[in-house]
Amino acid sequence: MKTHLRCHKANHDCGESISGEVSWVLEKVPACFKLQLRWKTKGVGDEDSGVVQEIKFQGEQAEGLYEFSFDGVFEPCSFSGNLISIIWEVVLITPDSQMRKILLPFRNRPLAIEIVIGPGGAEIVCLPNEGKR
Amino acid sequence: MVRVGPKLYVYPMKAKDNPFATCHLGALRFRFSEQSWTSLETRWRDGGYKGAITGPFGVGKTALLKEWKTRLHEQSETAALLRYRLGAPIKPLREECLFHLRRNEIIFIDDAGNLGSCKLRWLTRGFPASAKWVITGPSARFLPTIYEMRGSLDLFKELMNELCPDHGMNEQDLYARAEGNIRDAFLIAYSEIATKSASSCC
Repeated sequence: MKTHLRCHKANHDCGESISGEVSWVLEKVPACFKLQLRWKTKGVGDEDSGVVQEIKFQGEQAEGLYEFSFDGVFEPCSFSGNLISIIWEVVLITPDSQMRKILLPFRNRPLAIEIVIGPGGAEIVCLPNEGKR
Repeated sequence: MVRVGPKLYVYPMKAKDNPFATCHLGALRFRFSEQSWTSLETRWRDGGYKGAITGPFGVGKTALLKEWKTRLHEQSETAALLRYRLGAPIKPLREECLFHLRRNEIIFIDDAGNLGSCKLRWLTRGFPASAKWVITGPSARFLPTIYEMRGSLDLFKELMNELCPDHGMNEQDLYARAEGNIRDAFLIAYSEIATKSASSCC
């Protein structure tokens, strides 16, 4: 039993659409899948996050492939400083508890892929001493 | 660049790469021997499945609850981990507690120190006698203490080595500067590593 989540590109320019695919090979027909495009913060403080777009789809067979595409977003850009990083990710969630147990045995963590959304497809980096390296 | 364990750290450090970022601290598993679990659960049972886990801020009470929740889940029991935010209305929390209790779930109220004694009594007055619940906070209030947590330098060292084995910092100094508060000591470690320049570590 396997589920894969893949994005066609890791780095995206601001406003560029984000596409990829979900594939699964399971013992039975899966329940509804949910894909989220969301950002989160990582760093010294509490984590903040926001879901920007969501796609729901039904797996019609035990084995299948679904191609997805999110509309391009402009903000917030991927960012890294000393105290905070803003990270974009595409997340696959299934609400079915049995599926969660099968797919996500490690504390029910959803499958997630980190991507970069920023000017020219690059993360904005703001670190002191950056120039000294 | 400095190689630290299986990871490659680049200085100056990006927040997302900092090994002491909140997400990494939150993912640390609580360390408890099987004997300690048995002792904790026996005390809880003897107290009528009501009790308090006490200890100062940053010592790992929430981590213990999370680990206990996972352990209970493995034993086919469900626990709801709830938290009261200082200044928030208490009624929604009470309703949430009763919702979980109606489903025969165990209630963990984290940070109950934010609730005054009167509020805590009011909150729990409507609980059925068979309800199973635990609070955490600096004091046990009117409940039996089922575990009193204390931080230790050895524990801090162990956690530091798990997060970043070759951190190169003096753990004793960090622990002393944080006055024995493990979470604060990690915050100091975060700052130290975040502001470390490329020239000072290569």
